[in-house]
This record gives sequence, C-alpha cells and structure tokens, in this order.
Amino acid sequence: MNKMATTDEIVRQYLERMGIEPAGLVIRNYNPEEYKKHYSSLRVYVEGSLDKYKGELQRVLWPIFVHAYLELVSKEYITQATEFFDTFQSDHSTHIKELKSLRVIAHAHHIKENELAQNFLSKKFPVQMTNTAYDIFIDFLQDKSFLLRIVNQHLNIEVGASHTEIGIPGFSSQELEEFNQQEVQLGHMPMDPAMRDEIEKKLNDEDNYRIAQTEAEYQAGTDDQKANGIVYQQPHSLQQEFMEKVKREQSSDAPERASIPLPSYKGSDIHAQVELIKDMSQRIELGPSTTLPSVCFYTFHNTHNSLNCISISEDSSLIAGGFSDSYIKLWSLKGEKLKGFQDFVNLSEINSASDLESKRENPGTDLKKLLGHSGPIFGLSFSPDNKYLVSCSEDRTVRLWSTDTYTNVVCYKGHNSPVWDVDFSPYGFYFATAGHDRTARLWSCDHIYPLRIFAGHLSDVDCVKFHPNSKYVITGSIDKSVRMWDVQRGSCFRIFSGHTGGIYCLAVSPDGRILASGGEDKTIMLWDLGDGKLLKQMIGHTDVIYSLDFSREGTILASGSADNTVRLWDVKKGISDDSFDMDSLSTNKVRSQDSETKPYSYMKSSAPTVIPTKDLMTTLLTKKTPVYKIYFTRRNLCLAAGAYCASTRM
Amino acid sequence: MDKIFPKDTIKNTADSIGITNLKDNAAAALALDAEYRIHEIIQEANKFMRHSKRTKLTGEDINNALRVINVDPLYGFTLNDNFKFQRTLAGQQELLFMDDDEYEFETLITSPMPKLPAEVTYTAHWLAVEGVQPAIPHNPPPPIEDTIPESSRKKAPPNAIVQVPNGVVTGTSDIELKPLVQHVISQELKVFYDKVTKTIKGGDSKMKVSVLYSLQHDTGLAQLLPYFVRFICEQIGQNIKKNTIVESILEMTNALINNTSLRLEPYLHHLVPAILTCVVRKKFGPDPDYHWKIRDSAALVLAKICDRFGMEYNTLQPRVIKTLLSALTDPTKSLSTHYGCIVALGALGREVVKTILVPNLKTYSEILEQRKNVDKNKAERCENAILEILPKLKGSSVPTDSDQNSQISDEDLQQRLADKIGVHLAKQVMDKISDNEVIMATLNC
Repeated sequence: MNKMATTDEIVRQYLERMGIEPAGLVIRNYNPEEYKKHYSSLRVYVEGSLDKYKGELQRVLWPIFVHAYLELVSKEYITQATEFFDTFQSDHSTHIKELKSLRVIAHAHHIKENELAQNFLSKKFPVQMTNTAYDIFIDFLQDKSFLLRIVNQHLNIEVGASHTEIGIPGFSSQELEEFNQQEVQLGHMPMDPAMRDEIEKKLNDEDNYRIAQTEAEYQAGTDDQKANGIVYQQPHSLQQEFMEKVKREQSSDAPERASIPLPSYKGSDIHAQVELIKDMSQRIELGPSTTLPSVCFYTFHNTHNSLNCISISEDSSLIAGGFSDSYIKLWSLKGEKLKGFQDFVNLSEINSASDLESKRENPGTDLKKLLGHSGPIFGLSFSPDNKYLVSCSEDRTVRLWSTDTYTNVVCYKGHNSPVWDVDFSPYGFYFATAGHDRTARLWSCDHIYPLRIFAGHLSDVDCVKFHPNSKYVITGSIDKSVRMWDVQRGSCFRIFSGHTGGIYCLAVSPDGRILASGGEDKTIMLWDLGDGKLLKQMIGHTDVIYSLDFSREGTILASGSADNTVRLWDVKKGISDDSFDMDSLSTNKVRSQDSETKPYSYMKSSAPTVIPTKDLMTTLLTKKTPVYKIYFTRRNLCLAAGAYCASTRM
Repeated sequence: MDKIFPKDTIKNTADSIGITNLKDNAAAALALDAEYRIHEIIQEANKFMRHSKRTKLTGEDINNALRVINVDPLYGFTLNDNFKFQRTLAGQQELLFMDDDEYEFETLITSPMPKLPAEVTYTAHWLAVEGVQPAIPHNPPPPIEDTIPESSRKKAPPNAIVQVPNGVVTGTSDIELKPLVQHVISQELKVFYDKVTKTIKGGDSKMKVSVLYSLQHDTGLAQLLPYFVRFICEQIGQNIKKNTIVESILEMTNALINNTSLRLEPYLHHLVPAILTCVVRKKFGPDPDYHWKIRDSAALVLAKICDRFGMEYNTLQPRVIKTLLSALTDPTKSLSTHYGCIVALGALGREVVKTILVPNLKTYSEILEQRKNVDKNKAERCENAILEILPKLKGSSVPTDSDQNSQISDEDLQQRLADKIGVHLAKQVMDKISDNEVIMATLNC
C-alpha cells in the first residue's frame, strides 16, 4: 500500500466509483443551514473518537471551520455566517488572531482583500495524519459529500507513519506561544488589612510573652553561667518572621482581594495564622547546597491493591486513604484516638462547648471509616483549616466530610462521569474537581452546584491543582496538555504542551511562579507560569509519576512514582544553563523513540536504563512500595505514603 | 495497522448465535467495529487502572469502563486472582481458555467461612534523614554499586593492593580486572558492628539476647555480612583453646543463618571449615567437660547450614559427611573427635543416620571397645551419643517381617544386632534400649 497516497486520489477514486463527476460537485449549491449541520456533525464525531486518534482528527476542524465560514460569506449568507462563527468560534480559542481577522469579513469582496482568507483559499491547508486516523476519517466522510468536498478542495492530508504526538493539534507552536503571552497575576493575594492587624497584635503578645519567659529563665540561671559568658539572647521575633515571610508588599501582579470572594475571617483563622507563623519560625531551611529534606514514609499494609489515593492534612495530624471499595479511612498521625460523637446526642442538653465535648466517644478509635460513596474513591483533599475533607469518586459525586464529627456533610452532584481528582483552595471555601467528562469544575462549599465549568481539554481531566493565590486552577489531562484557568472568568489562560503521555500530577512552587507536571511519560516538566515557557525536563523515573510537591522555599522538588522511589530534584539547576537543557532534551528524544518502536522492551529487560538528568539529587528506594503521595509539611519535613505491594511479578 | 479481528472470528460468533449466512463484507465491517469498541473499552479501563495507582489491569477496571460507556458490566471476572489461560488445540487452531471450576453449593455453604482479611494498617519509618537513607530494616538494602563512590573506582592505582572483604590481602598483577573494593560503611553500621562484636566477646546476657535477635531479624545487615563472617572465623581460630566465647560465636552464626534477608552463600567456604573445627577438634579448652556442649551446638549449626544451602549446593552435604566419616572411622583420632562426628552425623537427619552412620557402626564398635579400656569416660560419652541417635530411626521403615520379630528371642536379636553394629554396641543397645521398634529399625538399615 502506498502510504503517502494523497487525499485527492482517494477521493477521486471514490467519486468515480459513486458515479459522480468530481467537477459537478462544486457547482451544487448548499442550503446555508447545512454548513452548521455538517460542521457540528464532524465536531461530534471528532469528540467521540478514541483518545489515540482524537488529536489527529481534531486538526481538520479548524480549516473546515474557516472554509465553511468563508463560503457562507462569499454566498452572501451574512447572518448565517455570523451565527455559524459565533456558535463555533469557541472551538478555536487558540487561533485568536485569525479569528479576529476572520470576524471582520462581512462581505464577499472582503474575502478578496483579506490576506488571511486569501491564504486559506490559495493554498491547501496541510494536515498530518497517521494511516489509521486517515482510514477512520475517510470512513466517516463516505456518505458526507458536503464535508468531502471541502476536504478535497482545501485540505492536503499527509498520511505518514506514526510520529510522536507532542502538542495540541491545530496549534502551531507559535500560536501557542502567543496564546501563553496573555497577562496573568501570579502574586500572592494580599491579606485582609483588618485580619493582618489582628494577627500582628496577637504575634506581638506572643513575642512579649516569649521575651518575658526567656528573661525569667536567664534570671533564674546561676551566676556561673553568667560568668561563663552565656549572653542573654533575644528570642527570634515572630512578628519579624511575619513581616519577612508572609506580609509582603503588594506586588504589581497580585490579584485583588475582591476578585475571589471569601467568607470573612474568624477567630480560628487568626489562631491558625499564628500557628503557621510559629511553624515557619521553626522551619528547616532546605536547599541543594545546604540541607536535603528528611523523608518520613508511611507504608500501608494489607491493602490488596484497593488503596487508590492518600491525602495528608495541612497540619499533618490526619492521613486519609481512599479505597476502591467505596470507603475512606482516616487515621491520626499523632497516635491519638479519633473521637467522633456518640450515636444519639440530645441537642437540648447541650448548652456549652464542654457539654458538647462530653458527648464525644470515649475512648475513641484508631481509625474512622467514612461511608457514603458508591464507587471507588479517586481523589481526596483536606481543607487548609483541617476541618473538612473533600472526596471524589467513580459514582460521579463529590462529598464533603467533617473531620470533627467524621460524617458526611454535603454531597455535590454535577459531573456526569467519574471524578478523577479534587483539590481544596489554599484559602479554603472553594474546591476544584476534574473528571472523566473532560471538564474541571469549581465549587464552593456552600453551593451544591458548580460555580464554574472549565471546558476545553480534549479528553479526561486527570488532575487539578489550585494556584497558591487561589485565582487560578491548573488542570492536567490525558490529552497531554496542562491548562491554567482563571477562576473568576472561567477562561483558559495558559496551555502547556510537551508531555508525551497523560498528566497525573501537578505542583506549583510556593511563590506561584513555577509549575511542575508529571505523569505517564515518566518525565517531570517545569514550566514558567509567567511567560508560559518550558523551563526544563527532569528525567530519571522509570515508571508513572504519581505525586509531586515543592519544598516550602521552592528550591527542591520531590516526586513519588510507581517505580517504588522518591526522588529529590534540584529546581534551580539547569534552568539558567542552556547547554544542559539541550542535552537533556536530546536524551529524552532518544528514549521516547526507543519506547515507541519497542513497546514491550521494558518488560523484557530487567533493568530499564534511563540516564537521569543532572538535577536529580537523590533517589530513595522503598521496599516494593509505589509512592502515592508526597507532601512537605510547614516545617519542611517531607512526608511520603504508599501501599506495600506484596505480589511479585510472575 | 494490523486488524486484530479477522472476519472469520465475526462469522464464528455469528454462527454461534444462529446467524449462518453472514455476508463477507458485513463481517468485515463488523470486525472493524468490534476492534474499535475493544480499543475503546481498553482505553477507558486503562484510565481506571491509572487512577487506582496500579500497573496491572483488572477485571474491575474493565467493568468500570463498561459502566462509563453505558454497557452492562460482565459478572464473574472481578476476582483479584491471577487468571491463567490454558492452551489447547481444537482441530488445527490453537485455543486459549480459562479454567472454570465447578462448585457444589452444598459444600460451599457448609464449608467454614474464610478468615477475615487483615485490617489495613500503616507503619511509619525514615526513608531519608537529611537526604541520606538510613540502613534500617524498613528500607531496602542499597544497591552495591551505589556504595562504591565512582571517584574511588576510577582512582584505583595500577599496582594497588586489593583489600577484599574477608581480610585476605593479595597483591595481584591482574589488577585491572578487579575494582578497588573500598567498602564504604556508614557510621551507624560501624557503631552497630562494634556493639555486636563487643557483646559477643563478652557482654551481659541481656544485651546478648537483643543482639542475637537483631542479627536474626534485621534486614539491613547485608553490608556487614563479610565483616561478621571474618569475625566468626577469626574468633573461632583464636579462641578455640579458651572456648569461653566459642559458644556465643556459634549462637551468632546460628542467628545469621536464620536471617532470611542475608545471602550467606558466598561466605560458606569460610564458615563451614570454622564450624567443622568446632565439631571435630581434638582438644579445646581447659575445662574437660565443657567442650561436649560446644560440639553439640556446633553440630546443630552445621546441620542447619546443610539444610538451608544443601539444595543450592548439592555437593555441600556430601563433602561434610565425607569429612565426618573419615574422622569417625580413623582409629587414631581422639574419642572427642569421634563424639563430634557422631553428633554431627546424627544432626544431619534420619536419612544420614540410616545410610551413613549405622552401616559404619560395626567398624566403630571395635574401635570403641578397644578404647574403652583406656578412656572409659569418653568412650561412654560416644556410646551414649550413638544410643541417643538410634531412636531417630524409629518408624523410618515398615518392618517387612514383623510377624517373625515378635517370636525372635532376645539372644537371637542380639546376635543379629551384633552382626549389624558389632558385638560391643549390640550389647549396649540391648541393655539400654528397651524399645523393640528401634532395634528393628536399626536392623533394617
């Protein structure tokens, strides 16, 4: 079979077989409504195709859209043309420039003057496709002479051997670059002034108390000590810490407070902030040149492959596991008993907090089982105040659980397919979900319907992560792209493409500037959220990457993978050094080609040989335990968790 | 792309549901569609597998995928058992099928409930402390290559002396073949090693118990193993005359053998001679009676080594037996050596007693008889050892002539026994072993 057969020939052969003169088609006039009908039928077809070919098929949509529009205009169906344009322009949001240019074409004679239109009409639009995708496409076109005509006249389909699919179909890299130039606000959200004042007051009290205490200790010290030259030391001021690390001057790109409405702060929020500052003052400074993190690993036993996801609460007091048997289990990491409330609590008896406490279970249990879902749990996330846990499941629902009463509080229905991932906003109140229905959604705890639906991914959205300033939501999909969405406007602001496999985990550096993504292709990519560019690739893992997290200063990235390792990466190394970057890219290419040509080679060779990039600092092996979750605590201790996999591969 | 489903498959399927006249092009179209659907199901199932953080597709994933694309799930395939396909030939074609056992409801219902699976639990440990992985049982032993810094390997000077772990220092000319094995051992392991050796050499008993427990159960000791083996060999060599710590050393060896995470195989050629020494050495220790005990425990350790590594090194046990037997049948060797041999052969199990020890007892009986006049005490020890071992034979063979046995008089029996194991021993056996079965078993050897 001639692999490079062009569309023309095939289409001509087909037309001859059908007894239609190829030339005869052009003359036939179409009802203007048909454009819409046929274009949407193609759209539906592409949407419904297999993920594997979707990307390739997607590419034909844009040229067909343009030509359909131009034909409508040229035939003076102006209202229909505008309607057509408005209905479908959202499909091509990355072609903003062209869309603007097309939009102004309102008369047939405009077409002759418009450079873009002439470009489209004079040249056949090149589309690359693999053999199978081409077969499928032609099969679809068989009885659609309308679309067949456009394809025949204006498209040049190049059928070739399979090539590695990188990037978003229909987007040239240049277009993507321009798209990613849109302005974003990555700064930290300023604190509520009233809240800030209150925190400062609290910290001041705390500082004074501490000073008094140290002084008292010093006074109590013997004269010997004084003689030995032990000098009175001023304890490190928490207020100072606060000034340095939290209360930043409003940076130019900080979002406005009003853009993300949050409930007004409570006394407990102040308390939490004070605790946070205290933790920060005790933080170990980590860095590739100073200290590497300590990693505490939680191994789960007897899971029999039923543990799907793990989450650790912000204050690292609780660990939650989501199981394929539809339940969630909560354990205390502090070794305390978990105390829910007694089965029957007579509300009339409760007059004070102490009454309520007396109604707690005694002595409590080591673990709490949360029942409510009716399908495997795929995602868990604790609220930043540790009071709630949100879970998502195959049963299409998302549930909010109280970690005080250990009961289900709200059930959110909205997704119409399994929900893969969920993430709480860093300021609480909001959470985002990602699902099999190709959308990500934004919810607030007090509404049972989604506030925003982020649609645009070509396939399942597999992971979701809030930006630290809560203004953006970042999603990763099996369509190999990462997108960043504005929470307020619901529109896409960044598209990152470069991965050669689905994306399963994301992490944003605490300063909000760097995004790390990892997944099926075993590489971690670092992206600059500001200018939308790839910073570097980090290679070393030999299996799917499940979890990523930055250390609290953002200098170290930790990754957990199915290859039973935790790896620590130097974030800064190689970003400024261009030669290094090129080096790593070329090795990656060699590797990916290898795996393409020999899909089973990895099963035969006992030790996959991956040459890690130089920014890999340490590889920490676990005992047959894939690493499900990596989390840096506020004091910069790295927590990792996974389920022990006893079964040996036969 | 190759088509997975030939149209014949579709035709066969159609046949099986009663459509016999399916046209070729219809079958081809259906085959194409079936392939597409299968692809779709696999694609969806794969997503479920990934999100369940597994690397193996299960029946449950397929069912979830079917549910997502609005198809009824298939029941009966969701067990987590590893399904194995069997091959068979039907006519010319090779077919694959799964074993499908039939169960009786009655037996299923009446059979006791299976045990509840263990509750999910978690354990915490340090995977790394400031970026360095501590050598604790929770962490896997680091790969050996990693413990040798690359720089030291490259720096190996051309005429270096190779320091191999067992302490043998060799200056070799074929230096380029061997890397400079500079074992880098972490501070923790060094401290641990010092602690262990100090305790074994003479620590308090409480400490010793915990050290032995650690040696037997810790999994992170692989790096220290060569040092331990060297320690054992050296200590046995130096202290055999004093015999005070030999017993502790044997206990330590025993603990290391019992540790399933250690690979002792490469060190057996050092260990076995040392242990054999403890069994058969002519004289050790100032205490005239203490050494019997040591021989006993050394024999047990020896038997354990043979038991654990005998499968892998099938020459191991024969070689040990040969050494023991040649010592036993040598009349010039001391009686204490003989005692060690007897005990060790006894410890190696019934089969060895039956095929090796008993057939040689007749020769030994004479040796023993002569020696008894000279050193009665030791000879009696040997006798007693044999008498203790013989009951092991009990029940080994079904006496073929059991009917006759009962009628045989004691004198007759003693005569037969004397033919078998010598006059002297036969007398002892008749005197001290009242169990007829043991005697018969001995006779039947």
